[in-house]
Amino acid sequence: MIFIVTALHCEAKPIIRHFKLKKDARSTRFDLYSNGEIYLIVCGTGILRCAVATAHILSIIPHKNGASALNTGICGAVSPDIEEGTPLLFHKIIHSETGREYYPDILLKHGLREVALNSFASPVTKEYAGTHAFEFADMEAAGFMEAASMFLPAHAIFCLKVVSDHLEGTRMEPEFVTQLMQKNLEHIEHIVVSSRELPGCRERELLTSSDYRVLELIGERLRLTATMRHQLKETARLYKIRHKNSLEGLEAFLNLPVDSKKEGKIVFERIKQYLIH
Amino acid sequence: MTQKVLARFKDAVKIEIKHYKDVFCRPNQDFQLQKSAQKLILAVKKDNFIYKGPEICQNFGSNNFYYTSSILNCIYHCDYCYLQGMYPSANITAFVNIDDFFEAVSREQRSRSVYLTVSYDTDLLAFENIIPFSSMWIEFAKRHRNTTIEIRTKSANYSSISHLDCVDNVILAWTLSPEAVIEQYEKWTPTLKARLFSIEKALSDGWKVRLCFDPVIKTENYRETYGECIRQVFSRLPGGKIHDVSIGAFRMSAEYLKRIRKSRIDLELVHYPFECRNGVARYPEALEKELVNWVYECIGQYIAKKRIFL
Ligand code: SF4
Repeated sequence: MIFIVTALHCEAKPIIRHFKLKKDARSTRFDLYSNGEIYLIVCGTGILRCAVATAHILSIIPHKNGASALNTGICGAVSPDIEEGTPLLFHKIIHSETGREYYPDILLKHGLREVALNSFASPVTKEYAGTHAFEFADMEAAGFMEAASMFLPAHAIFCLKVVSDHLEGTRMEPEFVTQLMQKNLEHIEHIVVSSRELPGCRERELLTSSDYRVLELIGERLRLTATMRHQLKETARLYKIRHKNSLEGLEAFLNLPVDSKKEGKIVFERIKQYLIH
Repeated sequence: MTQKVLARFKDAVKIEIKHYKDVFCRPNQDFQLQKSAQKLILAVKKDNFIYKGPEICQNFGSNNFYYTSSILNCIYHCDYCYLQGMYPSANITAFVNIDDFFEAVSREQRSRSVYLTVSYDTDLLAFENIIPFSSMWIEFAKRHRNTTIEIRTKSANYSSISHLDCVDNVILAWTLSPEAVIEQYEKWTPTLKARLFSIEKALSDGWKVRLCFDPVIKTENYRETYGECIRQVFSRLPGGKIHDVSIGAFRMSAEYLKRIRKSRIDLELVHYPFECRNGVARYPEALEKELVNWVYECIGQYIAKKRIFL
């Protein structure tokens, strides 16, 4: 599952089309599109709006380990040598007002240029760039990073932008922005696909429902306390990891006659020995 | 130092950071995933250059036992490595201001002799071709005879320091394990054969060599496995030339083990039902004794027992 955040509709358009996303009514605050696996939210311009939208989508859509988030759209480049339409993957995002820095943990392979991005609260110009040290500028990524880092692991957060201008301050036509994004869809798709392949936290559930049933029955028959039941579950989990066996062997203990708590305790110790060795 | 290291990685993407902890201590990192794409962080350490040696480690009879970590994390990936539970990140951090470390040790050893282990929280010699800290520590020891330095490694990289003069107050310590244990639990490390080849060379050049059978791992047929390994070791190495040997069964801070168990659900070794004694997870007492004694007895056939530390 991946959550995509864009500032503008014209940035989102090719992505919505390509992945066949449909309007999703679960958000009444922002425009949300989805196909059940990919969620795209249009946040509007600005660092704060982007932070709010990112936190919003990650809160209202239930997601498991292995989910990731991508902030994509356009950005400005200071150097005229960087051509319009160049896709960039950011390894460092700086909030220009707070000075706070964010570092996505880029573990997947990609063929993109990796650089640092400065997020500004208002549009910056060429003149401003002449007196301040930065190379690329946008107005959202820092907010996205702040919010996404609260929900997702560092390696599951991506920020990919396409250079649209050189801070000339001229108005940009939405069709032009859509075209730039359309041309770079393959890079967005690469992130969407490869992020799925990054294994999430490997804490899988090992005990099956029938294992749970046996453990519960044992707990009841032996009149185990809550602590002992917890111990039993933990030992059984470790047993499965070590032996890769099912817990069938435990069923034999269910037939032992137990008439008192004391006897239950004795059988409990025997079960523990069985599971430990 | 920084420029030299950067020159080695001309094509690498370089990211300027303010403080190494901004990256190393980022919340929510996946140690195991990072291990397959480790990054190198070059940093400056501001304080705490040396630490008192922890109880869990063998002090070889020294009261002034210290350790220092000029590199955090390791290029190898042993299943039993406590670093997986100790650090939030698997990225390798190297502190380039090594002179400050030297200065701190130098101050400490002015009034008393110091025993210092420098390949702690890493495998320094394995990293020598990238950052030559082992050589630098050896040169330091040459000038500071009051300091005994241990460089512990699993590498077969003796050749990277073989050009140096032998220094009497430096101990090159090799961790040895049976080939089967290496294959199963010590990912990316050199084979026993390759380690022995390095040790042979170091011995013949006159270095003090320590052999560390630590951690000893309980395998199904550990008696044969370790027995055979020790036979193999001493058929290659002259017991009389070995400085000393240390033996220790697997043990780890219970806190670290808890963290590792969460992230390595598939790893049989860390899910063994260890006992927690004084905050340290270890084999049940009787088994621990049995493991250590067995290795002790096997080694005792080749080396005077007074040179074996438990
Ligand atoms: S060689 Fe030592 S430091 Fe490196 S991974 Fe193995 S146990 Fe850890």
